Parts: sequence; C-alpha cells; structure tokens
Amino acid sequence: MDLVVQIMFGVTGLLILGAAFMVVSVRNIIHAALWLITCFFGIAMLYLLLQAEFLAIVQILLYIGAVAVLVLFAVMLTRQIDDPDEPVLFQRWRSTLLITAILFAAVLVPTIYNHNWLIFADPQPAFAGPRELGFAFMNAYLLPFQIAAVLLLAALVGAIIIAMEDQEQRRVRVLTLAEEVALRGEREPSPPTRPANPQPASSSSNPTPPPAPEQAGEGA
Amino acid sequence: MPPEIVIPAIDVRVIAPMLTIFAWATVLLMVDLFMPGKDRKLTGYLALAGLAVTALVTLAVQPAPGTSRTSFSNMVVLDSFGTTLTLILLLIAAFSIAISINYLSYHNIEMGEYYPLILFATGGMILLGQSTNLILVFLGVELLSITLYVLTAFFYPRYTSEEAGLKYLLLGAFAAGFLIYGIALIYGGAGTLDLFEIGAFLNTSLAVGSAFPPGALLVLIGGALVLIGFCFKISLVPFHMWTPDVYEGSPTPVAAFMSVGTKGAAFAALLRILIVALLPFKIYWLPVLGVLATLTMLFGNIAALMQPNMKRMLAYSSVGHAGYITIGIMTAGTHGTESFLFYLLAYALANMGAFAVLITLERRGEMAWSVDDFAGLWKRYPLLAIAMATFMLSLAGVPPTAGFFGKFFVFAAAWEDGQIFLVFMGVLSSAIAAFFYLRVIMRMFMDEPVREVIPIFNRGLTITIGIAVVGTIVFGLLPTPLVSLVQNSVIALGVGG
Amino acid sequence: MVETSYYILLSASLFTLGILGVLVRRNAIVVFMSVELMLNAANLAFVAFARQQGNIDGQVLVFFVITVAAAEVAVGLALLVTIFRNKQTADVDAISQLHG
Repeated sequence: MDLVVQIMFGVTGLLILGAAFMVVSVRNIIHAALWLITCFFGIAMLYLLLQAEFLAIVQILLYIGAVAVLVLFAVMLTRQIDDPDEPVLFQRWRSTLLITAILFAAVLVPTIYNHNWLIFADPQPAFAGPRELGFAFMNAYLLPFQIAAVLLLAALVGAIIIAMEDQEQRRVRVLTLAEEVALRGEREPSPPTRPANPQPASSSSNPTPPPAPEQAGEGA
Repeated sequence: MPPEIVIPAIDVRVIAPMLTIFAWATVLLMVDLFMPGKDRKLTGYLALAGLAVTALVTLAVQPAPGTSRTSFSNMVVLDSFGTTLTLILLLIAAFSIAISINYLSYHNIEMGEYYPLILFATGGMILLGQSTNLILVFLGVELLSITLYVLTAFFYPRYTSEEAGLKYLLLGAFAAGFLIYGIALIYGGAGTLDLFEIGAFLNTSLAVGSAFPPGALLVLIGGALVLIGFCFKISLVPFHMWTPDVYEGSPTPVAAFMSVGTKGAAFAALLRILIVALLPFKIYWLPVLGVLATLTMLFGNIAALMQPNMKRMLAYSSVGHAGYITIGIMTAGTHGTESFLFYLLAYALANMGAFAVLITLERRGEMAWSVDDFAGLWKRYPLLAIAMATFMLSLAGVPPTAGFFGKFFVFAAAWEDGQIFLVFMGVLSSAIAAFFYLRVIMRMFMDEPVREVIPIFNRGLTITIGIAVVGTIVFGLLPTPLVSLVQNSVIALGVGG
Repeated sequence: MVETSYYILLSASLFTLGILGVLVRRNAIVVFMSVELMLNAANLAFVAFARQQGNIDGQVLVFFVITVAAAEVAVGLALLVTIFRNKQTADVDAISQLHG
C-alpha cells in the first residue's frame, strides 16, 4: 500500500513539474493554458494523496472550472495565440535562470535536507470534510471569511468597471496629444488634422479616436 | 460527535472601525447605483461623511493607553498604535477623496464606484494595521492591492493608466506569491499563523539547545519570503521598479493615496510581524533591513535628482522616504514606533499637499507634469508657490516644518539604537534630496514663467492644501502634542492586558 | 506514506518554475499562469504541512488563497482584455508607453 502511494506520488509529481515547465516554456498560449490545467489536475491528485478530499474537488471546480477557463477566455478574446515573429523570452533570460537557480539552491534545498521533519510514526490528520471546514470558517476563521467576501466584492466591482464597454457615452474617449502622435507613429500615417467635433468611440476597435478639445470649460 | 456550529463570543469593538468603513462602502455602492443624473460629486461627499463617521467610531472605541483588546480568535487587536494609525489613514483617505471630487469630472473619468473603492482600500489598510494573524495580513494586503490595481487603471482614456494598472497587477501578484509562500513555510515551521504564538514558538525553540531547530529555520526562510513580498508593496530599492511608472500612469489623486496610504499600512503590518513574531530573529533582519534602507535612501533620492517630470520625481522621492521609514521600523524596539508614526503623518501631510498642488496645475488631456510649469509661480500665484515651498521644505526635512521633526525623531531613534552608519547615510541622502526639492523652490521663486499655466482651484483642493500647509507648519513649530500622541501609541505585544 | 519533505521539495520546485515563468516570459497571460503556479505551490505546501501538523488550519487557508487568486485573475484579465481592445497586443514589453 505504501509503495503504491509512493509510486503515485512520484508519477504525479513528475507530471506536475513537467506540465509546469511546459506552461512557462511553450510558445502557443492555448497549449500553455492546457498544460496549466494538467498541472492543476496533478495537484488535485496530490490533495487526494494528502487526505484532503474536499480540497481536491474544490481545486478542480475552482481552478480548472473557473480560473483556467477564465484564462482561456482571455486568450481567445485577445486572439493572440501564437506570434512567430515575436521572441518568447526576454533577452536576459539566461541570467534570470541562473539567479533563480541559485536562489532555489541556496535557500530551499538546504532547508529541505537539513530539516528534521517531525513526522509522527502514524500521522492521524484531523479529518477535514466539508463539515469540519465549514465549522472552521464559522468559528476560528470567521473574520478572514468575511474579509474574503469583501475582497471578492471589491474585485467584482473593479473588474466590471474596467472591462465595461462605453455605455451611453458615459466615458467619452479622450486621447492626449502625445498619445495621438505615438499611436499614429505605430499605425499607418493618417492625416494630421482630424474633424474637430469629438466623437465618442463607442467600441474601442478604432484605435485612433479624435483628440479632445484641450481647454473645454466644463467641469472646472 | 461532530462539533456544533457555535459562533464564538466576539468583541465587535475591536473591528468597529473597519466594520463601519466596509459597511459604508457597500451601502454607498448601492446608493450610487440609484442616484439620478450623471453628477457623482454627491457620492464623493457621502464617502467623506463615511470617513468622518469611521473616525468618530474609532475614537469611541479606542482603548485606554497601554491596554489592548483582541477578538476573533486573537486575529485582530485594537491597541493605541492601531487607533493612531487608523486615524492617520482616514485623514489620508479624506485628503484623497477631497482632491478627487473635481478631478474626476474635470478629466471626464467620473464614475461613482471610485469612492467605494477608495473606502474598501482604506478598510484594507486599517485591517493591516490591526491584524495579528498572517492570513489576515495576506487578505488585507490583497484587498488593498486589488482595489488599487483598479484605481490605477481608472484613467480610462489613457493607455498609460491601463498599462500602469497591468504592470502594478503583475508585479503585485508576483509579490503576493512570495508573501503566501512565505506564510506557508512559517505555518509549516511554527504550526500556527498567530503572530503572538509564532513569537512564543521561536522563543521556546531557540532557547532549547545550541543547534538551530528545524522548525525555526523554516520560519526564518518563510520570514525572508514574506519580507520580499512586503518590499514590493513598500517599494524598497531592489523591488521598486514599478513605482515611477505606476504613479505616472495612475490618476494623480490615486498616486497620492498610494504613495502614503499603502506605505503606511504595509509598514505597520511589517512592524507588527517583525517585533511581535520575528523578534528572536532580530540579528538576521536588522542588517538586511539596514542594507535595504541604505540602498533605498540613496537610490531613490539620486534617481529623483534626474527627473524633469514632477510626478516621477515625487514617485522617486516616495521611494527615498520609504528608506527613512524603514529606519524607523528597524528601531521599533525603542523609539521606532513613535518615530514611524510621526514620520508617517508628517510625510502624509507634505506629500498629499504636493500632489494637490500638482493637481491644480494638471491640465486636461495632458501628461507632462513638467517642473517647468512651476517656473515663476511666485509671481502669479504667490499663495500656491508658498504652499508648494512649504511641502518641498517639509519633504526635504528643513527645520520649521513637520518633516524636520519626522527625520529628527527617526535619526534620533536610530542613534540611540547604535545605528550610527544608518544615521550617517540618512543625513547624506537627505542632503542629496535637498537639491531637487530646493530646485523646485528656486524655479518657482527665481525663474520667469516658461508657459502659461492656469491653476484650477476648487473647494476640495483649497481645503486640502490649506490643512496640509497649516499642519506641516504647526507640527513643525509645536510638535509636542503630536509627540505625546505617538508616544502613547504602543503596540500590543501580547494577548489582552 | 510519502514524507512531507518530498511534498515541500515538489512545491518548492513548482514555486521556482513559477518565478522563472514570471521573470522570463513576455506574454502577460503566461505571466498570469506562472503566478497561478506560484500560488498553487503555496497551496500544496499548506496542505502538506496541515497533514504534518495534524490540524486542518492549512486546508482552511488554501480556500483564502484560492479566493485571492480568483479575484486577482478576474481583475487582471479584465485589464488585459481592455488593453488588448485598445492596442491589440498582450506583450508586456509592447506595453511601453511608460518608460522605465
């Protein structure tokens, strides 16, 4: 029985590390997202090995069902799946790799090898079913639970106001002169004079909206 | 027999300030939704009222000096340090909202959700100042940060704002990864996240034998990772690279709010972690913080020296100030706590004032913030020039201002603690800093105007600048009341009492 | 029975891979995924330590980390989609109106 668990741990661990390595190294972002899902699955399996059944289910529901799908949505919405002209890595990736490796070796490895893990002969972990976890949330962790709710509310409101399309021209699109020039430099050259009346760009697909009147008197 | 669900006895007074502000923010969100018309100034005034109510609640529940209350399984503590910090944070938030009310409509980015988000962030800051449990510290940091990512990206038409928001978010999430991994290691080592219990665990396990106990080693490494996470939030030097970009891209009131509020709250949480939980490791964190503080003071001020852009200059100057505050943190055992609070208040007044002056000169649809705009200000708007000069002198730490006493107390505390080298570096970097602060003053008083600048005045800005000037000068001339206030603001080092 | 130290070694490796991804990759979405790896590494450490300590606190903490991760991802991807609508790129380096 022990051996089975150890073999499962070894296989899952290798799967997780391999998937994580693929996430940070593949060029195609869809593939990276799929590898991320693989990695999440592997971690859910480890939770099962660690006798955290409820967490394993939550991991699958929330990380794979929500987070990974959200990431996939973002990939689709930004339509930038693969761009062979662009380099994947920063120029300085080698030095970064070196620094990270040194950090890992210097900090974590000695800890893990010197650590005299106080493993009890037969660890009896407290059983953590939904009931026990819910009890913890309502009792010892009541305040963090409520704060997490506030955090979710703030994030929800924030995400909506960021991603909201212009409704009823609520936020009229105003570009600064510098941005206008910078944008024109990137796109095909457009005539320097634009119609004077500022039109709100209802959808932002038009990247060069007209400049705003600099000294409009409202709101001062 | 499974446990019965029993809500434990809780002391609502302990969380009364943050409860008030969170409730107010939530209700304000809904009120704003049903508010007719496009004008959102009323939401702003209601948010200000909420801050005032929170301040009254804070004063009503404040503990007697030297005592503290804990509740929620000892996760939060209400001590006089937390109360004073809460009041300072509320003042900062009130300034930020006051300078925002007309700014938002003038720049055409007015949305009612802005004010509840500021309130949520302020609540997160208050939580940070009071929490004695690492998971609450994590949640507080994240509440504060996620709200600020949104606020940074609030300047919708500007690409720079959205980019600044994304940049801030990516680095913030990276920092959160360090923070939570550090917390996980501390949990593994000490078996608890309670700051008091971690401290007790370290004391007993380090006292046992001469060998370094394994649990304590995990706590040490976890503590280092937590420190890295915090360094990002308070922008100490190797981790400061996001600061100027984010400040430049975000709406100016948000930059002002971030530069003072985030720093104050994050430093307070760090202070509590260091002196309540990790005090047995002082021999390790003291030199590390010393190096970070030195680098931060020198680099922040030297980088500010080269900035022609006023907003970036203030960003680098805020990096430099983080270095001085770090010195206050390091000497927390003796007079560091007091000097930290004094410095924070003096810095908050001067910095909020400087940003308010920047807003009066900020023109719509422009992102220059050049020092040139200040040239010849004295000849046209002498009062504004005098106000700005006061703030610059206070930031530089020149005697008749609160900033001087802030620096003086920090250096005195460090001197008393035997940190002679740090005092020397602090004075040296202050001398460097004086250059660019004085350069602004020289341009205002000596030079001819470069271009036509029409400042915008409104009630919120005028009142903010007025209070900041009066506060800076009054606390500079008569620091005694403030000193006695901060001297009574001690951190609770144990449960109850 | 697998010892806790192996779990922590695995979790530390995952964390390092996450750091590496944040530092070397240019695409903002991949950076997000790398941060998720870091947070998952922390969660794994929490659960492993919870078993070792014999209490359920570690498992409770994982829920808060998941909450924060979801909130961060929601805001971040909202930002990313907005920026893409305006600029048609998700490359961190191309987002360079701010110099610095």
